Amino acid sequence: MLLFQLFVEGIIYGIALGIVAITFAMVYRTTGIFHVAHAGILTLGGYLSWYFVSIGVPFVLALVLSAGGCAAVGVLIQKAVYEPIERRGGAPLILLIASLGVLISLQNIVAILFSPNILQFDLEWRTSTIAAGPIHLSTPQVLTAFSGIGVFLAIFYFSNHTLLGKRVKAVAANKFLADITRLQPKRVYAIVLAIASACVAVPGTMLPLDQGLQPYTGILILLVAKIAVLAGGIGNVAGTFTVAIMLGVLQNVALTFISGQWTIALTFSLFVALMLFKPTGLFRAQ
Amino acid sequence: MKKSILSVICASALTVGVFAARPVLAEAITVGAILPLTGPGAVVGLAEQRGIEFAVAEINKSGGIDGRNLEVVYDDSQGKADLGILAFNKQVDLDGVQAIIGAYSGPTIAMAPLATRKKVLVLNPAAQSDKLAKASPFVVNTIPLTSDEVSVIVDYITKQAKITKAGIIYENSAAGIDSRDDFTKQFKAAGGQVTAEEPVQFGDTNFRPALLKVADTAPQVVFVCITQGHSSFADQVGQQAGFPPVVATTYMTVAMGHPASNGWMNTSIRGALKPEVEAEFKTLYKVDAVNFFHREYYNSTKLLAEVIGNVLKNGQEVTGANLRESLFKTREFDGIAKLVFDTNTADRQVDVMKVVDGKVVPAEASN
Repeated sequence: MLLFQLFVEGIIYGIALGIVAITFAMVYRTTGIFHVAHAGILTLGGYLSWYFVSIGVPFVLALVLSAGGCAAVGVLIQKAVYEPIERRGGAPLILLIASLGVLISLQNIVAILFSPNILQFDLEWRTSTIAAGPIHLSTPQVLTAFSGIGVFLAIFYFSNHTLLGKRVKAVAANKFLADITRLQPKRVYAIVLAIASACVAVPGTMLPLDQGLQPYTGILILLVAKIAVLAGGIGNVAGTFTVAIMLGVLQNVALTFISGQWTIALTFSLFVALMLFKPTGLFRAQ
Repeated sequence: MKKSILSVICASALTVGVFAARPVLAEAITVGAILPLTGPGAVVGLAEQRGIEFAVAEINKSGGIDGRNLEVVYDDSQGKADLGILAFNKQVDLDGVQAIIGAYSGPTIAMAPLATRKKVLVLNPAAQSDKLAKASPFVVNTIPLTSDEVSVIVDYITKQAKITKAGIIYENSAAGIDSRDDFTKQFKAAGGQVTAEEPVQFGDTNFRPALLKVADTAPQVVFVCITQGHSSFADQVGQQAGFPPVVATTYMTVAMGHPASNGWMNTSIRGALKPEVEAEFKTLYKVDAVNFFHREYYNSTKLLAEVIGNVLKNGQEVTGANLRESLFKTREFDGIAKLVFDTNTADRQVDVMKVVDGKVVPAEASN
């Protein structure tokens, strides 16, 4: 029974991880920037939702407003940081360092504006639970699962069945060609940052709704999410999402035979082993 | 020309007169405080800072120490050893402090060799790793350490509550690991069986996997030692149907009384502010209660001020060595409780508390 409970909880965590991974991959695949500041947006999403809830905004509306705020910050990062650096010929390493700087700034801004303390959403139903047979889940866990699947399906549909999604893919496939065929890559980059940032506000809100808000926790989630991106095949939305769920399950189920402190080490060790034997990932990159 | 020279002389005389009439302010005495002001431990660190600030305001309002104001330089350790060392060196070498109030076991243990070498008194009002007992002659603990508290809770649960099977959830930090080791050793010595032990990382607020794993081994109680995330922990315990009662040390005080904490027991280091002081604190900071960290840091600041006062009274220079010598010479202090220093760790009364119907009461009274 313990194994089954951990398995289900692993799937739920994996779904949240999957959204972080596919949105990170969306930015990386399109812009070529290792956007580590995405972890800061993830954190910001939670704090914005918390703020709106604290002033009496209904939870769903708070989530929508938070997604809007994150989208705006995503565009701001692209326009105020990445674009000027690229225009001046900054190397990818410079962009990575800049992104890291933005992440640290975001974390500290959040700590200054809100609090470095662990904050909880002031919602009574937050601690309620739902039982399905032998499985007991908290209401935020159930919401994490459904909202995550919803966001995944929306991104999948957007990527494969909309004109803008195809335009994003075209820009990602060949930046030079996109430039001369008037696909306006710079505009596409801003749109991608906006979409990815808005989407990551969902797990950014749902995870702390369950476990509390802290300014400095996003980076570990992003690190594990990056494994899903690389092992799932860069740009392969379904592959990345699947690997993220596998990682979530692995981290949880591994607890039945090893101590909790070693699960992250196990995850990264398996990733290194996978990269040695199959550097292209488990699924085909797109 | 003569007129202007006269004006200058008059102005100079007036200026000299003005300054001469002013009382010469005695130089303030500066001590340091290295606390986790940001990061996961900030909830504790900010409470500790309030306790110090409140005591300093009270001391200065009543004339300071021998007519000199007390000032505190704060630095942030984030609860991390490396940042603690940086802050220690900065405060001693740049700010010239001779006494520091510390926090968290990791940073305090890391500062200990430096305290010995530089002869700086480090007061520890809250960290409880057993290693602090002999970390340095200059590290003085104003509360009992983990092993002292664990012996009280183990004694109670084995003799009074007849507990024989316990699980352990501990923070993977100096204090957490010491608590785990002390509990395991003492509980086994008392005939108990530890069914499982599961760590959680410092800063992690997802306790659910650890809760599930430990509960699965069917212990009668779960001994918990975490230094942050107590509210998240209690929330998640409340979501696990039939989770065994939690037993803990002082660290868990902030979660005692949480809706999910009925039946929980913890050790509590005895101490209380005077009612009028407590009322003033609550009004000033707009809080419902004075918590453990407010109380202990207030007490240690007052104790430090008393020691500094004694050194000055003896005509000595305020140095770490003189402060240490004076502290052990005085030996007994009456603040929020009676503190006796026969060793580097204060001898204090430890009680066992229990949550009954949402209220924290002495465990003996609940039987």
